[in-house]
Amino acid sequence: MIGKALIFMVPLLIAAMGGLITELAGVLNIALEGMILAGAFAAVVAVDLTGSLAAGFLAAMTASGLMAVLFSVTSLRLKGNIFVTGLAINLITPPLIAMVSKLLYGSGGVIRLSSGTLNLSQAESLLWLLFFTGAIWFVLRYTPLGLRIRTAGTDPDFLFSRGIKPAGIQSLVIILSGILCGISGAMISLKLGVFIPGISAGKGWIALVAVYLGFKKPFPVLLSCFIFAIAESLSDAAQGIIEIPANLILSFPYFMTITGLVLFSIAKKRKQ
Amino acid sequence: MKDKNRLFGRFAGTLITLFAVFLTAVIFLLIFSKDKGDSLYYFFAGPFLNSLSIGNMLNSFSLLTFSGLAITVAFRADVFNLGGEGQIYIGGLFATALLLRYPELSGGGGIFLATVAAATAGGLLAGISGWLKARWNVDELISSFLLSGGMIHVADYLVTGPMSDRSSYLLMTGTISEAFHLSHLMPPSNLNISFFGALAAVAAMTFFLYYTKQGYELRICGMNREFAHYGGLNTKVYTILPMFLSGAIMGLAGSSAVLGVHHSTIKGFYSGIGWNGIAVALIAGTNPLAVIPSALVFAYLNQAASTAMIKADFPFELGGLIQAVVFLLISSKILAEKTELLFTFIRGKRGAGK
Repeated sequence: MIGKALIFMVPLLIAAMGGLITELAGVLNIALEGMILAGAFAAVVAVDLTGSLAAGFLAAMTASGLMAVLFSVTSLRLKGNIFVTGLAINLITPPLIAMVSKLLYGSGGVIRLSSGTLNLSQAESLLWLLFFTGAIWFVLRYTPLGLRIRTAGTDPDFLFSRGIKPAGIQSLVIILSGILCGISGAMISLKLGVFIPGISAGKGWIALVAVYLGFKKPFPVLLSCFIFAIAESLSDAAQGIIEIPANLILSFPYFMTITGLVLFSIAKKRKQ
Repeated sequence: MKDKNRLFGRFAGTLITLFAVFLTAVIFLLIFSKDKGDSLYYFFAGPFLNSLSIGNMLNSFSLLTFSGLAITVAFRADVFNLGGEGQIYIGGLFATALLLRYPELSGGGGIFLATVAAATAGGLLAGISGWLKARWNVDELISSFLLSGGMIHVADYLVTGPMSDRSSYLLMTGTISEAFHLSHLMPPSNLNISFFGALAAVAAMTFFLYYTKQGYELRICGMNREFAHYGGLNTKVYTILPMFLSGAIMGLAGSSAVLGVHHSTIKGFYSGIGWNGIAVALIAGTNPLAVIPSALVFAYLNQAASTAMIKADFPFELGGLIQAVVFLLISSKILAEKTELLFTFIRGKRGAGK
């Protein structure tokens, strides 16, 4: 079951790393969900057209990156409310996907791949988890870019006084988070070999909560993603023993996330 | 003078957003539609072609007024209710369940009780988020979204499972007795007396916010919570109360749709009311009275998209896209400033010409 959880948590963790760097740079990134969805769709379309997994990942990173550009332009350049523009990205993605899908396939629904699905073994999953967490941890801790990202969140005026535009760093980080969400989305859809509308199923939101629960630090975030993944595979296992209606299963991630959020807030309040 | 300018800036920003929305609609229509002429015609003129379209537009206006008003109340207290969809769904479901359980109620009494049930259910769902915020400082924005997202799936389960109507092909609950249907105003359109309910809700909310002590205190908390706290106000109450009110009004949108239009709870009937309520409120600013024109614009957009969809090959997803474009641009400070500059520039030129 732990092995299953490891495989399940790879896309969640990658998205959470995207959420982590934006959060540290002082950007409330609720657009994760939409960007994951865009990546999941672009990956399936690209693999369907070319048959190559690499093309799928590339397309996913491009599509989600573009959504991130739109997010960063409307929130930073046009100075929109970051919460409202993030919501806009989540709202604009499903109809855009449906329209493009109609144009390409004549229907706005499910796209099934005949071949070219992604099969990660447990060892590979573990490797990817450690790679992404480690890389982000290293960049944040030991590189000038990491320092700038953290300063953009804690003291943007200081950054400005050193001749670096905080908004520039923030928009870079948003685009990076978009690319990470692209990878995450591609992993979700290519693993199943199918794109279904709404396939991201709240992963972006869970990733964001995992960032909070992990106290905005890479390895604790990894741990909180693991807890979510265990809970998910537990409810999968429960499905086999007692029959739980599918709709109720779909509600679990939301209630789990809110429970996690409340526990985190209680712990934080106690600490003060 | 400065205030007046700022007001103008907001107005200008709204105008440019609406312009961008119509532009997006036209561009996407030109790309995705085959009979472009027809689509364009039905998009712009469609809502006014016959009494059916006008009536449906006004019905959509009533529902959007409820949801827009709900978000406005929360905005006014500087809290955010992101769970509109779930609150509408649960509200509608509670109203339906009550009327299915007690079909022997008199018409008026049943409608009244169902409406109260819907408002209470929606209000409690949002109120939990308010309480969590007041008690443990849980972000109400995320918690209201998550609670509502979870409850939507639970309601889906109830509507398609234990409460489903086996004789129907649609995913819906049983149908409520005819005594509980709200009277229609412009048959065969969906317009019904909840239209007056929506207007009354706006009037009541305006009265509450501007002419009562609690309304005044709520507004103070919305302006500056810390100041309100040091002024001796119980700010926790004004975190929970606006969330509860917001959810309750969302619940009213749910019961209006159920009693006035669908006469049962259909899976996903809330779509297009919940999120659009936020867009309506964003355009209205924080003014409850401004919800009325703002909801009218959105009702027009909704009806335009749906008429064009039925009469021409207007893509169904365009409605959602339009709404998202509003979200992308409406809060932009720069757009508002730039448009304001443009207007001042044009006005200056005209002055110089004379």
